[in-house]
Amino acid sequence: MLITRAELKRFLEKADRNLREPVDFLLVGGAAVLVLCPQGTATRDIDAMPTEGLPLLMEAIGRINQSRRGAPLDVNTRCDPYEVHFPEEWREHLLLSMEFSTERIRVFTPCPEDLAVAKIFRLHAKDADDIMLLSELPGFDRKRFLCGFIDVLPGAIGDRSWHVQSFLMVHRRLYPDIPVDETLFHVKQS
Amino acid sequence: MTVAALARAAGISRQSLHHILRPGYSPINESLVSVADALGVSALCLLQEEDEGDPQLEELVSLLDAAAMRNARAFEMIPATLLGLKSIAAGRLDVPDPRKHQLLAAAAEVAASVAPSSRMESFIEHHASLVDPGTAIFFGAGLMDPERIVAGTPEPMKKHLVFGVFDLADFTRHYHPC
Repeated sequence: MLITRAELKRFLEKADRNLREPVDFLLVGGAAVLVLCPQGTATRDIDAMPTEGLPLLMEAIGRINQSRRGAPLDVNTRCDPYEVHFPEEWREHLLLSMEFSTERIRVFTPCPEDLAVAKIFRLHAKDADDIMLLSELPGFDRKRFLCGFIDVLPGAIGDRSWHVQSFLMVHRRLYPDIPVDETLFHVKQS
Repeated sequence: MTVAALARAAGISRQSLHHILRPGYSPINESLVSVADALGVSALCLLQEEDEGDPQLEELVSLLDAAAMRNARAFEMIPATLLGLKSIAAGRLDVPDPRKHQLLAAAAEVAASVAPSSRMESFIEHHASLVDPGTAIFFGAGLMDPERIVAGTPEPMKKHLVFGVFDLADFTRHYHPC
């Protein structure tokens, strides 16, 4: 079953009331897109990077899952491998994307450009949906997107020429007025 | 609970409650029996509670609505939902839109490749027969080249002209057999 941003927020509000200590929740993948783009949807298995207080939050989420009816929220905390597909300085670009009145849970996400870069390296149908949503956010910065891709490419897992094709294909759709050659030049320079 | 308390809770008088609890009371009146006879059904059939709906089926319908709007994430969840559906015994789901039949046929084909069953085969056959021939559905077409989408589409989906870059693992991660 899918989850909306409002539903996720209600769920985390409950978790927030169950916590005694502050916890930072660092979302990546589709859940991060959901937090940044209100019209998005995500599957109920959301991805979170390990943070110091995460085990406490997982306990609180487990208690809520047990006490409520309906589909549970399933948090995947083993997503460290995702990190290789984020630009090196992605943690410096983190956004505080959701806060609650008690200020115990703080939800962070990568910035839209870094999230879009990470999605280029798989580019399944749902990644294309997500990139489209992210690119429509006000202030989505083409230069940061390009620099992020160039930064990740040398260490990316898989066929690099395939990743370059993916990036150019997406770039052409997002910025049809900018010549592909110019973009390709920057990629080749890297 | 006393008779008075029960009457209050039910919103009826104590006299009515006594009447209902009297031996020989039947809630089926003569008019109801006549209507049931005319329809050739039991009078009890006409007194059945309104169907409260099947939550699994409602979930499937909402996923199908989202998939018909090209939500790839929703489509990804349909095969596992089909496999978990108990009320699919009739082998069909009534939807008005031929595109939804096409999505159901493709999703069921994926489901059958994960967990083969004759039930799923008849489901595929029924929905595939209601598809507009020659119509293709593409997921991710906003950003990806059609050729690449076709190349990245799992074979079971291709059979029903539903295209999108998915891993079979994208579908199976939602499937948790008992």
